[in-house]
Amino acid sequence: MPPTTWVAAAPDRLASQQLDVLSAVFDRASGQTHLLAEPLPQILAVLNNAPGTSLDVANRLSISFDIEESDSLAQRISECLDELAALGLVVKA
Amino acid sequence: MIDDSQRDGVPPGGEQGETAATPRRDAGAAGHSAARRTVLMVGAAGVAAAVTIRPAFAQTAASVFNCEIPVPDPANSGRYIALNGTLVPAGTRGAFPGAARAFKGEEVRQALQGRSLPGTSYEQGQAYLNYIRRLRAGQSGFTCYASIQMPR
Amino acid sequence: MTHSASFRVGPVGFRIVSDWREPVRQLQQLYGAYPAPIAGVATATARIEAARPWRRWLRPAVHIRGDYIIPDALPLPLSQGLLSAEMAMNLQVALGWRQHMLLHASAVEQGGRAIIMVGASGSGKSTLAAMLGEGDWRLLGDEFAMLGLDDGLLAPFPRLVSLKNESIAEMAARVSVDRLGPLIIGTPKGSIRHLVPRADAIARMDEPARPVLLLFPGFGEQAGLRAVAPSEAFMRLTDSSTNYVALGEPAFVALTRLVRDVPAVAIGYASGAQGVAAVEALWAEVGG
Repeated sequence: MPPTTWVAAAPDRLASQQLDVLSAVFDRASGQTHLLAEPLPQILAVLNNAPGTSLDVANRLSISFDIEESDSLAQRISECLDELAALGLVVKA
Repeated sequence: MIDDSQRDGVPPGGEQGETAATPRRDAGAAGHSAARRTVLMVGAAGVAAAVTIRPAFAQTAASVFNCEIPVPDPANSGRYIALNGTLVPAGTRGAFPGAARAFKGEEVRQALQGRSLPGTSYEQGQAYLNYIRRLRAGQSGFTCYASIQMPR
Repeated sequence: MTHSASFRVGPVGFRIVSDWREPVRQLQQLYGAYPAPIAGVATATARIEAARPWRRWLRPAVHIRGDYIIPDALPLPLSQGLLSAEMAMNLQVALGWRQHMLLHASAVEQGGRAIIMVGASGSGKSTLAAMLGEGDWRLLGDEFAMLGLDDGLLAPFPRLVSLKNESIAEMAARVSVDRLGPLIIGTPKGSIRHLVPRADAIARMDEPARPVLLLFPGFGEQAGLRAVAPSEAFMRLTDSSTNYVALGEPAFVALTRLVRDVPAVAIGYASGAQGVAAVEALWAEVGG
């Protein structure tokens, strides 16, 4: 099975405010408010206008950030993408 | 005591609006230069990183007003309740007469979690609960039932 | 024959209609110093009615009605008619008001700057506000804090303070009896007695204030202070708002701005006097 390609909700659909370690995100489409911890806002940002797989996301994040040591970064990113998908903030391309 | 630098692990949050996705500047940690790249905490496997806000007011309002659910609704008083929760003519075998008093929202909430409805046998309680589950908007008790089901 | 009373509390013009005379007479007395609704137009109408027509006389039971209702609510006995009217008024505002974001909170002001105190029933927010409101503070409200969606200011909503249980004696010892309503016993929340806010709170009900401190009082919790992170304050405030969801994005914007701009602190205290002292000490720290 080929890896899933994800695309983020259009940025003009969301209002975001970083509060502290959590960001508050208002989804104009659903009317719901979510609180997101790292790395979810960063994942949304790197998928903005650029669909990608969990591996793509891991690579793009590595360019912008120092990422804590992890054996299974792509696995963790994949988990996070599932969580974002459950909120409707990313969809399969 | 309450200046930003002493909030638990929280960086000063003055001017970062609309930039949730950009790397945060080093938040005042001594010795870090501004040029250094931000460390991204990806979190441990299996740990949820999102929560959706679900205000509980409807629930609160219902508990304040201590709602109740009549079984059956007054328009159908006299009819019996079958095990599957449907209304049947009085005297139907295997069905139960209506409850003598309306149930409190809290009693129903607990019964839905496995406690028995006060003053009922097991099957009678199941019939009443099935009746309550079938309530539709406009029927007496529906709003109360709906408020019980609201996530906290 | 119905009885009615009309008056204004902050931005809300109330009209209360009742099947019985006594609750209306009590309202007229307690709200005697309040102005009439602007241009005589009530923005919230609350009705307290007999549960069944014959129950106006036989074991009188009061149902709360209005533009917004909670169906299947249990009726209260007529001896709690005043409480029913107050609950009906709260309900109309809680469910119907859209001009401000409503927080289930008390608020007090000094020098144009306000403290918002947020907490569930029993947290002591109402008693704390009532006690501060008898001191150097102006009471903005003990039940709802009304946050302006555009300007971020608090609109005063100084309705009657609802004193409960132990706080009744505590306040009755400090204020003249003509500011107290009848003692109502055996309510779902125990004993209740209404307190008319001090004259300045009523006279200045159109003067807004800027929130500068968010407080989460915890009566009976271990004494002390704890800084509350903006995200935690945000969650607790959405949870205590009655119209956050209904207002949509403007509420999101107003609330995120509030929790980012205003420090938030949880305080535990064991007595009203200790709570007041903690608030005053905290106020000195934020530069009050």
